[in-house]
Amino acid sequence: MPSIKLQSSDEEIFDTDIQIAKCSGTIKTMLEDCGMEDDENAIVPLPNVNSTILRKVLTWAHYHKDDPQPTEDDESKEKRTDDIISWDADFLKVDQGTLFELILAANYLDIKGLLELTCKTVANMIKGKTPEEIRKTFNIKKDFTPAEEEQVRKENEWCEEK
Amino acid sequence: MSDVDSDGEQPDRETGTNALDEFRENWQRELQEHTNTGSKGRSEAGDRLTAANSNLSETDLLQAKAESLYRTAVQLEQRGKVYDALPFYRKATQIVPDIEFKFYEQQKQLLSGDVSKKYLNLANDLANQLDLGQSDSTQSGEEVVDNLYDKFQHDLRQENIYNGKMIASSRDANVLTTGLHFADLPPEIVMRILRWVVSAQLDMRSLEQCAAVCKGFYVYARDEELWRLACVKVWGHNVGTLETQDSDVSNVYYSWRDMFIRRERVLFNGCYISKTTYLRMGENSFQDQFYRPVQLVEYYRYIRFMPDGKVLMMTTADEPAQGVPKLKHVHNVRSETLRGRYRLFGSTVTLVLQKSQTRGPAHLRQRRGSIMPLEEDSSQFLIELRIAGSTKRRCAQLVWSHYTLVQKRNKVDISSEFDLTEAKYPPLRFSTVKSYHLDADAPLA
Repeated sequence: MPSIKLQSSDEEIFDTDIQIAKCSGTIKTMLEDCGMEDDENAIVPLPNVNSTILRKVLTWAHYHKDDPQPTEDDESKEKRTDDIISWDADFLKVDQGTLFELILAANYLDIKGLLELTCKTVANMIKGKTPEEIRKTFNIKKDFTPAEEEQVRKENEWCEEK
Repeated sequence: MSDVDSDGEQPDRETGTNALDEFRENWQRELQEHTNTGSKGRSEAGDRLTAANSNLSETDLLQAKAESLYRTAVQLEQRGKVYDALPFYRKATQIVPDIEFKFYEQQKQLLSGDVSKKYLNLANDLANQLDLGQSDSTQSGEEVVDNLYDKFQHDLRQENIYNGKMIASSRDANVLTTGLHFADLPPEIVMRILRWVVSAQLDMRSLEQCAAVCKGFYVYARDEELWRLACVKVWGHNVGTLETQDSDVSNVYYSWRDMFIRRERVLFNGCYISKTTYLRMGENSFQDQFYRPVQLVEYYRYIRFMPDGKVLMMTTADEPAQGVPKLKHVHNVRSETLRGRYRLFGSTVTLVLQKSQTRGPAHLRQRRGSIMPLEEDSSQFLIELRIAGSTKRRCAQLVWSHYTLVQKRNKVDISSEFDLTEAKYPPLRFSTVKSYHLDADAPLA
């Protein structure tokens, strides 16, 4: 099976199956535009991704390499088997900093599936929480003055449960 | 002063500012007067005991003082007098180092309304004694900014505070952390995350909660594109523009968010429920002609709308505790549930429903008093409901205006109107169901 070498920002080389590497839109374009596909020794530099994160990303890509292309049919969405979902959940049991790094890597490498998955994970950390809980979760500083906070609360009153 | 609270006292003494001392004297004088007139205190001892008599320890005193200083500083800063405010902040923190947090806690309690008024009043009184050189009429919390969005955007441009980022970190700057912070995510990623927060369920409540987190989140969460997409989801092709609206109502909306909030629509984060109760005469008994049973019929109707135009309706004897969860999963609904599509026209919503045809009619249980007539495979239910508000909430009621059953038999449509008596078709009322929106299903698109 043809493989390719990926180089992380800390100059670690990853020998990767070309099919797996190509789930990244960025790498795919790079390979095709530069005609590197046939060159066994070509090294693709990825200066924006460190080795820890790249290893994670490649693990994810390896597990999902046989995923069918997403379709619009909502019945098939339901059929997505539970073990994939739980695998993804286990995969994302990482600290917040790593999760954000994965997002940035997925964005840079243009891996849509991983980007959606990670963004969804962050969104679910936000959904249903109070502002104070969100601040706590993400270490965000409240920079409102009391007056501003009150005004925002008033603006948002329409959706409050009574 | 004894040395009980020397920790708090010392820095105060060192600074030895006139204002503070003066203020303390005034304060203690006032306190003394108060206790003398109020409770006939056994005032053998000095100030401190008097204070103790009125349930105020020395630390309380200090904290109240620090608080009033802090409050003064906040007021000054709000008037833009940052330099004037600084010494007050400094003094306050010298007395109580973590006054900022305590003050914040107080404010929070104040907002939730269950504050022990003990030293809030004190602090207020103290603050009044501090002459700010301006009238007290401009109290904090009463000045309303026209457009918070513009103000926050302006605020966020202050390089020295935000370093070009949208969100300030609450992490201690002195502790070295390697992990990325939310603020390190580029705007397009944050917007993508917010689309997942809103999700295809249109969970705008969670988005509004985000807006209340900090200025940066506010600016993101008020993004018009998010709200426009939400409006398009709700009204589809009829969404129109902000100026020209439904032919009968000429409404002008200030923003897409304004439209989402004010325009008539159905609510998604829960379901509409009605309870029907009536008496029904039973059959005459065979043996006893004088005994006529009367049956009390009680059932519930549940309607859940989805933002993608789908709707589920279920009529069942189950009470909400059991009935509501049955509509949670959109894809595998039970056979007794009708499913279909709906559309909004002005203040009415039209539903076209069909029986779920996953199972044969053998599975459909006949329930006494059920008004679902006949197990006919090709029957359609056409319903028109008027959207009305309740005292508490907009769009929280649906009033019946038409209900027709169209049956196809031998390729002929037979339609029959239901008699919409108030007793059998009471208005449906909205109840929020948290579990419906727990997890995002798909991003808003």
